[in-house]
Amino acid sequence: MRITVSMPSTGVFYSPELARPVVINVDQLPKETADKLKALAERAGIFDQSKALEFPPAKGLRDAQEFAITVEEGDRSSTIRWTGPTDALPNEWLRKFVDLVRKHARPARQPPASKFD
Amino acid sequence: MCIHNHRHSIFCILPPYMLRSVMLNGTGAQKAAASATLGVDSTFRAMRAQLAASVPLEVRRRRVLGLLPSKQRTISTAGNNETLPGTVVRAEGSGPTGDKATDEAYDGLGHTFDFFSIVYQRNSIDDEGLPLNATVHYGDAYNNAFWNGQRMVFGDGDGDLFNRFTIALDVIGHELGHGVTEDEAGLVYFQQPGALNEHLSDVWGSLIKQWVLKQNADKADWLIGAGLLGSAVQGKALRSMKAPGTAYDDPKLGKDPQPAHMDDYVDTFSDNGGVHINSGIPNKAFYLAATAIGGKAWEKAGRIWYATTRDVRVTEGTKFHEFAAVTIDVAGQLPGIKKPDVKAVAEAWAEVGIVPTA
Repeated sequence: MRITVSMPSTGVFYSPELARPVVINVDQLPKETADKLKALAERAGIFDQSKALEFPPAKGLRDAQEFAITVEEGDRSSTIRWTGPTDALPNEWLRKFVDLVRKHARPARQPPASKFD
Repeated sequence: MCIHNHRHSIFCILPPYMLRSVMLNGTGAQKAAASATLGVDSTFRAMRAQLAASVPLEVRRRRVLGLLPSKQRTISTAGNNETLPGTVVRAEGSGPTGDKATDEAYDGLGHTFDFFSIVYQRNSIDDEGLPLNATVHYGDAYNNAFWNGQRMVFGDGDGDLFNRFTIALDVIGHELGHGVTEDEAGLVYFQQPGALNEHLSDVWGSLIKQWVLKQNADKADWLIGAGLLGSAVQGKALRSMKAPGTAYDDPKLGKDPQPAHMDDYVDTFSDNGGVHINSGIPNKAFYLAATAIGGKAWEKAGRIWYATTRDVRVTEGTKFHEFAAVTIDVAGQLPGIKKPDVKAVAEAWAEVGIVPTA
């Protein structure tokens, strides 16, 4: 499973590096974490085509961060999009899934090597 | 909520805050005329009471009772969860809690309320005395502050890239400024109207800080979010109105992408069409106008921008050149704004490559 986390809107200001997509190769994570992510993805119905996974921002929301999380596994692919707090997401499993994904995206977000050349 | 009836040409030509200013500062004849106009205005206001049935009870009550502007602040904590509004930790009139984020939010809301009330005679963000609510300690190491349409929400920052988001008064003013813009112009949050929305929040945020510090325009730092970036970050703030594009250049944040001129306007779908990016252009124009006019920026440049925000010609889809045209027109009509001031505004827009057209 491969997960791409991007933040098209970085909040109260725009940071090109915080907006840069980060790729998490789930199979390279510790087995326990990888299994948990895969299980949450199934419970949340990430690949269930009948479920809407794009949630428009609430009215009046300003300076909120916008997230896009693309999950790919084999020939299946799905993208979750939302803006602002995770309570914009409609179910508990989806919230748990994106919380865990974002937790693992943080250490993956390193400055590009070229900046230190 | 925006009811807009206070700006209808049938009801008044000059808004009451301007008439009250004329009554205080005008000649004898001007004072008499302003007094008479305010009297007529009051009659129309009574007629408008019929329209108020569609206004929420809380607002109607404040209006009917004729309550004087007074702060009604409530600070809650989310306890590092992402649930709003959280638990109330400080309400209006209670003393400091000792928690920095709580007390900074409380004070920042107070400064913002006082600024709009004293400088522009605006009664809170809706001009109807709306209570000001904020939530602090939102999320786990949450790197942002936002306005959710009803309250301000502040993260603690991760302590690495960002300090707590209540640390900068101008950021607090910025967030509440979104409420003012939503109530008045309702600029949509996308591309140029969205960048104007962001620009106006930066204007109010910076002016509130300058007002609290009693600074002249030439002494202000014109930074948004000074002190917010972590000590290891190569940067001084989130944005610079004086020199857009120079606030930070850091391996973890990238380089400040704000342009200062229309030649460098960024076409993008990120950031809601570049609302935090292209706001650098009108930000620079405001800085140029305010410093060219001189003195306290909130007294003339700020007043022109405030009157522009309330002008009926500024609507949800207004673009840079249209907004610029209204600033120049409004400046030419405001009492106390002289021809050189109007010229300074026009030249500021020209300098950033914006040609004002209605």
